[in-house]
Amino acid sequence: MIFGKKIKTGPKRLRKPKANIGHGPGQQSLKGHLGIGKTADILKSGMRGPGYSNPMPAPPLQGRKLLTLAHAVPGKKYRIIKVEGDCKLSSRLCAMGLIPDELLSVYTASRGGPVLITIKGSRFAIGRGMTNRIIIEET
Amino acid sequence: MKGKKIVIALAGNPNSGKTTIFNNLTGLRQHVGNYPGVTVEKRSGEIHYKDYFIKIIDLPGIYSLTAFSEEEIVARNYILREKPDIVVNVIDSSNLERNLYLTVQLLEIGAPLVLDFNMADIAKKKGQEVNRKLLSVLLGAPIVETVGPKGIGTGEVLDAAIKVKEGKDIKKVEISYGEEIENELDRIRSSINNHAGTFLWSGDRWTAVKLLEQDQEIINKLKKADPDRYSEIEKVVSASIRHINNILRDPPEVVIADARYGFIKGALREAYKEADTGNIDVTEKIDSIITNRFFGLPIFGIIIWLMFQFVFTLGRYPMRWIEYGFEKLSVWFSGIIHAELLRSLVVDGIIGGVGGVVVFTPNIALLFLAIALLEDSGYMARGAFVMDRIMHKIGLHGKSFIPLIIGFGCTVPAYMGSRILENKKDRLITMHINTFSSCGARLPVYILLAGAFFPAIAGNIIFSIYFIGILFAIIMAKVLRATRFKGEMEPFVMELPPYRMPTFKGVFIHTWERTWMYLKKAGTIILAISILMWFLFTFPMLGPDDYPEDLESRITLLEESYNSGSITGEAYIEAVAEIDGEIAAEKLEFSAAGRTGKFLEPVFRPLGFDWRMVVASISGIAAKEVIVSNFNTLFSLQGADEGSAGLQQKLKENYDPLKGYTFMLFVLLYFPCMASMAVFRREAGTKEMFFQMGYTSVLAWVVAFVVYQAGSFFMSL
Repeated sequence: MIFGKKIKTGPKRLRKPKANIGHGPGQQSLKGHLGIGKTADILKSGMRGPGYSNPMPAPPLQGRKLLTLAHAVPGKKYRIIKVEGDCKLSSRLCAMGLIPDELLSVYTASRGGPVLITIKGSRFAIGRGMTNRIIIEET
Repeated sequence: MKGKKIVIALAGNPNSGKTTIFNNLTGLRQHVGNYPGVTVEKRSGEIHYKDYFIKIIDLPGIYSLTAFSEEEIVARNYILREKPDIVVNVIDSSNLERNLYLTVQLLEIGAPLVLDFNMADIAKKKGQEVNRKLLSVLLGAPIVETVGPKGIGTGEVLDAAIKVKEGKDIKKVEISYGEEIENELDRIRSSINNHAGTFLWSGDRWTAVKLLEQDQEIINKLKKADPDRYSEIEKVVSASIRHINNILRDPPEVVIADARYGFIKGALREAYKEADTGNIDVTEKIDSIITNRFFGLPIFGIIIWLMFQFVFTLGRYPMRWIEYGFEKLSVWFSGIIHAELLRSLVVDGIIGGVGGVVVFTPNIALLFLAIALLEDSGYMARGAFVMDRIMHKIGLHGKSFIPLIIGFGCTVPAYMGSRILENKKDRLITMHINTFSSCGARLPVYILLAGAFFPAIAGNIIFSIYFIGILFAIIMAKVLRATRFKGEMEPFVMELPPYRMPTFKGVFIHTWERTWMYLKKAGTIILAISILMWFLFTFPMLGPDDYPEDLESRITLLEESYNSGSITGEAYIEAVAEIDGEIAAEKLEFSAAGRTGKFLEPVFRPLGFDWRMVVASISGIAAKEVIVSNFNTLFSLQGADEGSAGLQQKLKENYDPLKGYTFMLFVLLYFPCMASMAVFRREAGTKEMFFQMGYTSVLAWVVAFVVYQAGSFFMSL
């Protein structure tokens, strides 16, 4: 298994009805699982849709699997949901093509080490500190 | 118009082939320097083309014009402040979407652009088709195609640049960021215009975009220019950011980036076609082996081993020729200069000092050749990836491994090699611990001392010194990261460029530049330091009364006994050499260096050092291997080398093994030599050089103190 131990402590899947998100127990475990504090933000970004004046309605959350890039499996394709972090970091990643809704494929991942991805035809190595700030979903 | 001057700046992503284009444009007429105040390399060249004098500036390779790295700030400030006539944006045609992101930002900043679609051949092979005419209209800049490695299209780039300069090819394109952002931009712009006045560098629209993106550079500048006005503007900006966050659920910088990509995608949809050729990506295949979890490290190890062999084994031959050349030069100068003092200055001071530095030139050249090959082929990024996990544990970047390994050969190329680290903190930490990779020049000292005091286990003793060096490298990396270079480690994002065949020209230019830079150093600062060191070790000289009293009578006695035939010629020569040695030792003791040694003896007594060891340590500043020859002089021996039994005997008579080991540790830990410090200063600045000298000296003292005192204590039990 390429996953770290964390994956076993928290659910990887998010099969919660929309109404429960942000209130149910899923929030706590996702928080623990992702190792970050801004759970609400991630969920909000996943909740683009009716109720907000967002021109781009996101696909429904039902059946979506959210995980961090640190837990991605080589050979699979993922869609970027959100990049956690300060402006400086996200601007940097944007410049490299890592923006929400973009597809990336993971082609090497070593346990606890950097992950190699292909995005927009370029290959990048993304370090450990960063991989658990990039929230993705399986396609 | 005859002889008109044009300034062209080259901008582009790393790995877009920008440097190749620069080399094609300028050939060998290049000037390499640093941008003021930063370690970012500045390369420029001047050419004459069709009645124009064209100055070409190679800006650092960047992905965007944010303020993420020094390189980005340098490039941006250059375009904003120096206002080059043309910015040629070099683009990897086979990767248009990502590369055009920088283009869009160059459009935003209002730079007069020429787009150079480089590596057009690879793009065509991939089945990509660009409608250049249409895309050029959509992007508002002329497009030329080039194939860097083959030198195709170089003239067209210049023609297009001249055309834009003459105002024949300019269209303005404005990127729209979508209604929400545009509304906020309007708000911020009016706030800026209400409050600003003259303190903008580019248009208010651009500044507004940067403020929404929370660009720290711009914010700090506005704050500095006028804190009151900025605080007014800030209120508007933070309200806008909140608003966008609320409505669009993404921070403004992401929304803006999204809009930029939207603009690019829109343009490409119109003017770009990609046929699926079904080619399997070779790069990915190679990568799956080279970055493999199991093979990655061994492959990296082999490559580094080969590089080490290449640099130091192959380098040994030209090094010998250079040594031989300097020897011949010394002999020749000795022959023509008859004034003893001047001869000593030229032969021992200048030729000895500069020669000792020039002799490393083959190492430097081969090292940079190796680095250029690794970088241009694309392996360097993979090596860093493979090593990153291990280096991460001691708080360093994967690439730090390379200078650290090179340091075992020579610290000078190691310092220069740490340029491969883009991040300043990573680079400085790597440089500051690099000295603990015990260099080749220190080995003779270890051989001498370990052989003298631990003849049975000399190998193990030397190994222990190397091991302690590595230990201190790890400790100090952690300490420096936690103190002076605090802050979170730079998040690691690195592009893995496609594998490419390095071009001869590119590798040659790269190697030549660095080597030349090193030689220039030897000709200037090191020459000066060599002369200074010579003075310290020569003056004040012994006066006629300062020679040992019995000297004259001994010489007379010796001559008499030789003349009378009571001693052989051999014995006579030996005895003369002994007297010469004594005089040399006497002179050294009398010189400024000797006096300094005696003066500093109390400081070093807690380490068990006597004044001779202090003088030897000081001479080690010139170069560590000089310590051996200085011990020779100090113990009035002539022409002994590190394996010399005579010198080892003398050392054993004067010191005990504990002192010997402590001295080895001291030599290991204090900064390497003047050549390396000169390079350090060039790479990192005067302040960092003094920090390096200071902290390594203190560390060396403390460690030697602890070891000597603890050792003495245990031995007295």
